[in-house]
Amino acid sequence: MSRKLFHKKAAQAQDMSLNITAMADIFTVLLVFLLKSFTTSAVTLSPSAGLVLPEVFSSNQVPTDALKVEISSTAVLIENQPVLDLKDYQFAMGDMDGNKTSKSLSQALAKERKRQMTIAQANSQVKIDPKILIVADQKAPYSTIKTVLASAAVNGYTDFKLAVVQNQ
Amino acid sequence: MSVGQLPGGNDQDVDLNLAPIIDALVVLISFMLASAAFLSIGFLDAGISAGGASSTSTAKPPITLGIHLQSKHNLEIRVTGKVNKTISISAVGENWGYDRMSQSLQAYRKDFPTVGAVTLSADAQVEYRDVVKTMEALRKIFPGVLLGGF
Repeated sequence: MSRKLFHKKAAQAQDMSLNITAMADIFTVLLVFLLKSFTTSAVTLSPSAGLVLPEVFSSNQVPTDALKVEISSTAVLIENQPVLDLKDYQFAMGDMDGNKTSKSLSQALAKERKRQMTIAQANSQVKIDPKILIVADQKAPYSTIKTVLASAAVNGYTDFKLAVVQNQ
Repeated sequence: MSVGQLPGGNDQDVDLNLAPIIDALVVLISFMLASAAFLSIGFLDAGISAGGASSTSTAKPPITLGIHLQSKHNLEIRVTGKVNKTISISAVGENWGYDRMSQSLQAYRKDFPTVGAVTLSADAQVEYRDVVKTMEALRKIFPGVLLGGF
């Protein structure tokens, strides 16, 4: 009798298997959901490590593609390329111009502007864009921001877009 | 012949091996989760009208409004034009006095509805996040917020 019971239990254990069909279904649904929620915008912002953007509750500007200038505590970058070094957000005294602009930054921005103009001359469909994206650390002092904006403005970049994190 | 049977009367069931599919899905989901952007990045317009239709009028506004952020969370509303006045708003604890600022600006907005923009400036040491927060507070009253102090 006991031997019979043992055989029955052993047979049950052999039949049991994990049904992974349901698991595959769940994973497929998850993958579809993630792919759907994966937003692709015109602008891909990848701020440097340690750079924290300021937070706001609402910003109604649709992300647009434009020249990106990043201001961290140690450097200013144009399109992810370091242009000049900062010391605790401050420009070097020798780099400052009389009209409160930065010489190095102005040169780099003028180079970008020239490149844009060359493209615009060659292709009539391309227009010279006055937009500029400012990706600055939240602790940057206004004097530094002002210098960057002034340097951009003298080179024709007058439409400032400030990158922020939306608090939802 | 039923589904799952091989032709020729072979009764052997054909089971699709789901294990590699599960493996691939797990890797894909992990990759998607790792690359997902959990922060929503937005942009504040610092140059032109930020909300509603921009003004096409070239007429000079009756007053010019300027907000100046000072150190220690004190701020000033500087009114020039038909009205010449400077309103100092002290810090509320460790915060800016946005409520008082909004009340004053709304009064000016009511008296001078043609004024559509305000200029924001700050002391050199004021942090960027405070400038952005003030811009956000101003945008609720005026469509255009311009950065000044150059």
